[in-house]
Amino acid sequence: MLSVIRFRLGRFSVVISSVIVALILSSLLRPLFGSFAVLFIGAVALNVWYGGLWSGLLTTLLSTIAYAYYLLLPQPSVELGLPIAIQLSEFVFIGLLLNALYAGLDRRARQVRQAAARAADRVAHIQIVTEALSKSLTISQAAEATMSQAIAALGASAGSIMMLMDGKTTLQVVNAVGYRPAALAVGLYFPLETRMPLADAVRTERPIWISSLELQTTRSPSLPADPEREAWAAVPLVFNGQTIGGMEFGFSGVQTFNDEDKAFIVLLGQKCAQAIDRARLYNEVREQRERLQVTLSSIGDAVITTDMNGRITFMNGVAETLTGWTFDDTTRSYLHDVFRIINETTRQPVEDPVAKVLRENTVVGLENHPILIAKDGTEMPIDDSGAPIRGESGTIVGIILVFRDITERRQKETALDATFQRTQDLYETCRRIGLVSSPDEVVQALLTSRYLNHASQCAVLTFNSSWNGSLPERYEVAAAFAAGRPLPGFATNGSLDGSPLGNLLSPTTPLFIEDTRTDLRLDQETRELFAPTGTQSTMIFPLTAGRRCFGALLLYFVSPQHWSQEDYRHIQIFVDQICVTMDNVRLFAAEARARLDAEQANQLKLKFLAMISHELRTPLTSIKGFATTLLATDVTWDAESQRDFVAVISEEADKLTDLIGQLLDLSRLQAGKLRIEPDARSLREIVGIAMAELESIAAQHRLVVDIAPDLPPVMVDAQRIAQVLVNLVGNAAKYAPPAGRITLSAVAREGNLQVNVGDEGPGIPVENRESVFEAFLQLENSLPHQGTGLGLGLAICKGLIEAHGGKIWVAETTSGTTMSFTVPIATPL
Amino acid sequence: MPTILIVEDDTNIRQFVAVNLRARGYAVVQAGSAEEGLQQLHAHSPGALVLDIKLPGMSGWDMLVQIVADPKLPDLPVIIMTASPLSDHTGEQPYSNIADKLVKPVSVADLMLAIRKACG
Repeated sequence: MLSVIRFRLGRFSVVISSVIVALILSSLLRPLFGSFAVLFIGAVALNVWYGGLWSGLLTTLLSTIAYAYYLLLPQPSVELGLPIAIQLSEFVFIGLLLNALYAGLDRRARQVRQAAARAADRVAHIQIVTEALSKSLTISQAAEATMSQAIAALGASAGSIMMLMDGKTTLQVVNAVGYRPAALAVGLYFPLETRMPLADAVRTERPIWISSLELQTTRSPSLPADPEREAWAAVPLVFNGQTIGGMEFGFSGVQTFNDEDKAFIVLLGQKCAQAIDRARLYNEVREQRERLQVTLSSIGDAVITTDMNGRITFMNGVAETLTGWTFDDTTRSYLHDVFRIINETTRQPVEDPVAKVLRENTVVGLENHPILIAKDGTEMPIDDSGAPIRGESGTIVGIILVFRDITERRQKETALDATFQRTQDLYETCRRIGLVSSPDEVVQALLTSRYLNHASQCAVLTFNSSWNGSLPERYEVAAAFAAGRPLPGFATNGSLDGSPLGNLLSPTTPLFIEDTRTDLRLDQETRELFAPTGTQSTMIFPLTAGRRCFGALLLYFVSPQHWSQEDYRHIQIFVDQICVTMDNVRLFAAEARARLDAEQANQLKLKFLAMISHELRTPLTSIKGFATTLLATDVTWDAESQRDFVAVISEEADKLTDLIGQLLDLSRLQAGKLRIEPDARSLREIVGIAMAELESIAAQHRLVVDIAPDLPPVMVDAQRIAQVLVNLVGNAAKYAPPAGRITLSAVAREGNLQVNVGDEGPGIPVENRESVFEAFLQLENSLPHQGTGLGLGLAICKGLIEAHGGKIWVAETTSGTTMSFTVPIATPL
Repeated sequence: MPTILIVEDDTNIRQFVAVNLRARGYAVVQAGSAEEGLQQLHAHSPGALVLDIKLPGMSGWDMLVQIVADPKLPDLPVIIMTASPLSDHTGEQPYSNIADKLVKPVSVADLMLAIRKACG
């Protein structure tokens, strides 16, 4: 303000002083040159130049007054007439002309200055926009920077930037300033056909300039009328020949878009297009990178990338978890600090993956399953691979390392291997056990198992009876490994009840004693049983077949054992196989025995038949022979001879009848169909029944009947017991020497009456004393074959006595033969 | 007429053979066992032998083996008379001069036919 005042006072003083100077000079020069108006003209010109229009006009006024005064004062005679008026008018006209000239010049100069200032302003805006755009990383940032500067630079009241989308058929607003939000806001979409300056510019790919409302014919009718804007400018955004969007500005007043304005707006558009394209490119790269990071972070494997020098440039979450290091820890640190790997077996550090990848120059699997040592020292087996990362030119810029924890897989592999070993052992051992045919071989086969081959002793016990409910009486060691050593708790055979381990046995549940020194089920006495052999551990399995416990398997170990459930199951399968095998062995033996018995029985039957045939033919031969003798016509027999012949025929016919009767009896006895009708009879009574026949049989011997009269009666079929007595006495008579004594005696014993028939014959060898009662076997034996008869008598006696519930046997005597039998004493009613 | 030796343990059968042979003019020597028969062979040198197989002690077959083994005994014709056709000796015949084999029971006609065949 002060400077303005000073300037104005300065101008005014210049006006005054210049008019005074002109007046003085005119007065001084008047005598020489007359009227000298040119000086005042000079003053006016000076002040117009220096002080501007107003100074010029004031100088003109003052100069006019001064000139008039100068003209009038020296010449008072001069009348104020037309000539003076003309002179003054000329003077004023020149002054005004000067002022007008100056004013014109001055306005022109001011216009030039203003234009220069505006141009400078726009350059500044362009610089600001350029700088802002260079910092814009997104499309919206670029649009925002462009728009804020453009609005300010252009003095526009509204502006928007839209991008072409969806195959260039849609525009999306990315920035909008000054509009009513309902009309146009960021994020809205418009079809490219929309009638508005921006869309027109994009469609035509040319700038649109609308200077006033009257010219606003291209404004879209679909948009609400915008009374706030008079003028519009719109340019397409073009980059690399491609239209990517558009930009428009609205102005509140009428605009004359001169070339500078248009150039500025077009330049803004170009800058904006460049920035948007750059932002788009940047976004693409950033998205790619983010996608890559997300991908690397999401995959299940650990990933570490390094530069050429092995410095870590990235590691994903899995890598962080496995190594125990976080990426922040490792920034700028080297791979070998974080990824410490050693050889699984040698435990020596393995080759640096970076070096290996760089050397191989391709994807490499690193050392076979190295061990990774994490930050906290924990170790894990890993599976890994490395590969070079190549730049655009194909040169290696770093390496990528991918690895995973294979602890679980390794555990599974180990478990699988163990299962395989187990299965193989199971198969091979079971197969061996299944192929054997004796308990000894069973033990040998069992101990081939790698789970049992360290057993110090092994034995198979068999029981004399099945263990069903009650403990079997006796056991026997059927087979044993290390048989020379005493078997703790068991002898070669013995009573199970008396066995120290007997009370721990079960017919259904195995017994496992992992440590005999500490097992609480064992008392001190039992513990000491194990001491001599150094046994510290034992397993006892019941051997069963068809729910029948027939024995036990014993396994002893000289060191304490710790069996897992799998071990138990494993060995139990062997035991099951042993049970099957031993049962098969038993069945085979039983079957073989039965077959042999059947074959022998068959042979005996054949021989029996042959014998019967022989025995039947013998009496028949006499009958047939003498019958044909009598019938023969070439010889005439006297009456006595004929009588003898017929007597023989009759005798032999009786023998045949007797024989057939014996066979029938035997057959009935064997079929269990012989009828016994017992009642209480005294033995004397029975002997009485048989006495006539006995005396006849023993006619050549001394028959001594020694039966006490007070013997209790017996419950028998008297006829049958009489038959037995006849048979026995008949046998005695057959074998005893003539005149020898045959004794018949009896004694009551334990509810039975024992009857003895003794003779003084050669006796029966001990080995034949049981078999004489077997109908078939007796025939087989070469007893002296005298007289007739099948020798079925004893077999029949046995059948009859047994049918009475008694027993018959050959008594143990030193000389002769004594046959004894028992029959039940009749219980008093 | 030749002398015939009868070796048979059953007295009635022996009697049957002996009676019939004597009635038809043969001289008859009897034995109840093979051992006795061998003695009779040495004593009487019979022209033919009627032999039972199943005998107490030595069997008929064993007796034939003894005859072959004894150089003093002639190779006389033998008539086997057995009640056991099934348990017959089936192996190598120990004796070649077996004139006939009769299966008991035997009729007089069969017996005499065999005797005549054996004695030529």
